[in-house]
Amino acid sequence: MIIPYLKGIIGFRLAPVTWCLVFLNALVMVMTMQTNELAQQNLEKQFDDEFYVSTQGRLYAQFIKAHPEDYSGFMSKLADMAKQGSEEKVTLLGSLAIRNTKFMNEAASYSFKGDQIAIQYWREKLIGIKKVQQIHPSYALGLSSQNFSIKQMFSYIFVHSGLVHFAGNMLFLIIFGGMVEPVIGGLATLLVFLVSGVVAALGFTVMTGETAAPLVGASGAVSGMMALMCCIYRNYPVRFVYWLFLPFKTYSGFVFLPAWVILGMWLASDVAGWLGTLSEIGGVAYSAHLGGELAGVFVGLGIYMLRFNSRESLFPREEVRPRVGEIQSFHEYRPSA
Amino acid sequence: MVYRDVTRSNHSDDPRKDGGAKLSNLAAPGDRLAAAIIDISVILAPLVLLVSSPFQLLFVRSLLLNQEVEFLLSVTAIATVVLILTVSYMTMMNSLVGGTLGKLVFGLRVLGIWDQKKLSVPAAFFRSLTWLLSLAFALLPFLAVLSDNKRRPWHDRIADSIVVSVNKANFGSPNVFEKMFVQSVLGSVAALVLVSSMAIGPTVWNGILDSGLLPFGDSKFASYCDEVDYAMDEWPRVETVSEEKRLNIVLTLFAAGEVSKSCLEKEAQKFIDVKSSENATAYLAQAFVHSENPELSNQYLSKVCDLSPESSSCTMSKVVEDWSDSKWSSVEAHFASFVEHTPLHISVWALRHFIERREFAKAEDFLNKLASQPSLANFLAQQRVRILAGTGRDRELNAVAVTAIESLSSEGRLRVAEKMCDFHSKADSCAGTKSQPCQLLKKESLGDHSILVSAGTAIQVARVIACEDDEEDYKKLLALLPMQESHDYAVAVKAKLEGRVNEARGEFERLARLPDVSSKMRKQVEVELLLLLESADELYASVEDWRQEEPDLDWGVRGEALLENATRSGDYDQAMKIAELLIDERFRKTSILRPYVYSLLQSKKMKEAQTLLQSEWGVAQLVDAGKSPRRGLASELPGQSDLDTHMEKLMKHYRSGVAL
Repeated sequence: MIIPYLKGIIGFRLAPVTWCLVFLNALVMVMTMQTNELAQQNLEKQFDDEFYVSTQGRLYAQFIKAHPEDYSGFMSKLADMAKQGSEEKVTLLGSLAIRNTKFMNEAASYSFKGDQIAIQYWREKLIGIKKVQQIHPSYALGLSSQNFSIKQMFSYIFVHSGLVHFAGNMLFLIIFGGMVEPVIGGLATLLVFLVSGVVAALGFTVMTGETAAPLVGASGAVSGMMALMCCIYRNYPVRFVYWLFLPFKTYSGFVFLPAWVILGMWLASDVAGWLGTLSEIGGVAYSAHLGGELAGVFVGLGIYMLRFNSRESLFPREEVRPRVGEIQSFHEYRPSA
Repeated sequence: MVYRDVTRSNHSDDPRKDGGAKLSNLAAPGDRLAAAIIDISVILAPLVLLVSSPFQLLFVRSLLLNQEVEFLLSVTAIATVVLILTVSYMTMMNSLVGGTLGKLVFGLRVLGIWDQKKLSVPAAFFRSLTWLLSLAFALLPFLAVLSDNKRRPWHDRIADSIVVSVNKANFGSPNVFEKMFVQSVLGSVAALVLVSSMAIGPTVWNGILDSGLLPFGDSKFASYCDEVDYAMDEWPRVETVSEEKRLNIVLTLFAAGEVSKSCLEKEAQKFIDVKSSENATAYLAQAFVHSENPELSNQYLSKVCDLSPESSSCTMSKVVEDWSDSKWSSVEAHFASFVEHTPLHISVWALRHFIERREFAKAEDFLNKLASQPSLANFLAQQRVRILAGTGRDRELNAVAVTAIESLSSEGRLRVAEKMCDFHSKADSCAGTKSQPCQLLKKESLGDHSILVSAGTAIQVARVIACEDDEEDYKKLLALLPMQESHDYAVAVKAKLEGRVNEARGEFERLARLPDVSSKMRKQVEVELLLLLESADELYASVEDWRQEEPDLDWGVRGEALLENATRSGDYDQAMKIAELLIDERFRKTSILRPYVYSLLQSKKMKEAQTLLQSEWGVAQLVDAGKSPRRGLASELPGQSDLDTHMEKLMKHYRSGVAL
């Protein structure tokens, strides 16, 4: 396993704007934590109701077959299987329905056929779910087809779906921001962060299409910071943590590799993820990562061409420039001030 | 052919000559493993993920859509991508550079063992193919790194190659511990493969197929219930609209407890989906399906009559509504309104209702309507046993039980055996537990403990065990009871049988206080405690409490216990008062007649005793005792000798103090 470490967790003095962004994200996380938890529990409780989920699945199948022009062949086939009686597909459609903008917008007033008691029960539950979504931070502040505005394109960056999501994004924000901010300055870092986030949102909207499931998280913006860092440093050897799953000293430590390796790895996995994921099923928003990376690359190129004449002027003066492939054990590492 | 052992090096000590390595510097196994990890995680995995991503999409789609061909295609494509990328990478790097990226990082080189040069392209190609093949053999061929003298696994032998280290000193040939480790691993794997392929291979494979781990074990959609499919063939004479036939069948099977709620739900839902419209019978079914959500269930029930006010489904929905409110007279009025062509599921509910209410004659009418349905055989046998036991028709009961136990399925047999064991053990205490039904119940339950989860079965088996003569057998059987409450009940009953009344009472009282005890066990324990009341004051107080309670079935059972206790303890006045309250048709049973007649006799009320024995109820008892054939109740008056014999039996029964 290999993870970029770069200069590690850099101090506030060297990257104040980066740290402020982290604190802002943390503040939003803390302020929305309780509401998030309650709303999420409420939503999960609704989806524990098998009758609601199966009714929703059947109605979604009916809706898909009634609007074939709006759904892919895959969804049409799923609907067919659900109508033929596959309980597994009915349940799957029941959980996917909530991601579909058209269904969520139109189903409440659509004239469905069949068990009217079940349909009425489902409508009442749906009203309840929509009310919960209005107060759920991910839906209220996240970006989706139903919630698409300039404000959402910024607010989604600061909302996370959970602690792990938040921690992962913030760790890499500090790591990449800590490399970028000393070079380009605080204001530029802030602009890059926000612009990457907006471009990530646009990338998500264009490449994923309409979805009622909200986009949340700073990973698009962080991808932009990462791409910018790779453009600035390019061949400069930066520190990676490696661990080869063997319990001996030489099989874990730091290794110095060119910065562009990070962009290569990230880009490859995001492209692979985007190509290999069904948009109807959702999951990680690879398209947002790609949008952010694109923004970061453009900004990086722009900064490079407009601002600096030589690469050496980008870097703080270091006594010893590491070599590519150089290995450093954990106890030899001394963090920079 | 003699070959030079090129590992005994004649070459210079400069590690940078001859491809950069001394052949005597065998690469450390750890370095080789680390190099492989780097190759896989840094180069191969990202490349494979990227290139195979369209096929991954196809893989996911085919899994979700149960498309076998596309699934196999996607798996084949992904495997091909893995093969091509891995082989290309390793071939190119080994032949052009002398090692993959990982090996280069760790200062390892792959050289020809004869000429110490970089491998040729064909050799590198076969080496990489064999490397991949080793993965398919669960990495076992790689163990040769720890056992071969030159640390050369398959892929090195095929290509005549050897992996050496540029930077480090000679790691050396494997030592004895490494070789022993490899031998033990290979030996264990061989034994495991042999055992599993012979003994459990087919079972495991079928288990994997059935578990759903593979996507295509059974692609048939389970939209219908198998039980209904079978019943459709046996049920040709259902007199309903044909398109509702399945629905009526599943409603009937559900009413009889032969199918689960999920089966009913599937059938009802499928019916609604196919029709794409509302249907009264389907809504009735949905009302049963959602019985645990009263609000939703009531919505379905009220809609049934909106859709079809004159239908039998509407009447049945009213039955359900009144049943939940315990409006029994309304329920019976609804059942009575079905004069002809009562739908079978309604007949089943009516049968159950009348049995619960001890209206055995009416129950028998409905039973006879259902008698021709083979799918209901288990259920009907059980209900017939209850009717015969309730009306005291012992001879018929024994005959039915024998036939049922021989002909029914295992579940039906168990249900009948449980009822019969209850009947025998109550009639004749421990002697009754030696009867065929009790012994069958004991044998089946100790073979399959899962049936002891049912409190009714557990109670019967506990009684049977408590009556075991042999102490060792008793302890052995006791230990096999899975649930603590049945274990404790058996211990208490044993104490009671052995005359340790105080101990038995203490055990029953403790059991009654436990919070987790099932309701059936709790009711049984209450009855046991009533049977163990010793003083007249306690009995009087219990009877007074009992008289204030609302008469229902449990009240009737407790009354029987009080009657039994009063009769045995000689408080005949009390016994007669209790019996008079219980004489209501709903509670009339053999277990009331006997102590009542005995108490009348002891109180010298011979005329009242005779009147009772000459009543329809009493005559039925004599007929079933085998005294005379049944020729019609009106002409059946027992002669004095019949009465004497019957009374003698009664006296003997009570004097012997037979318990339970």
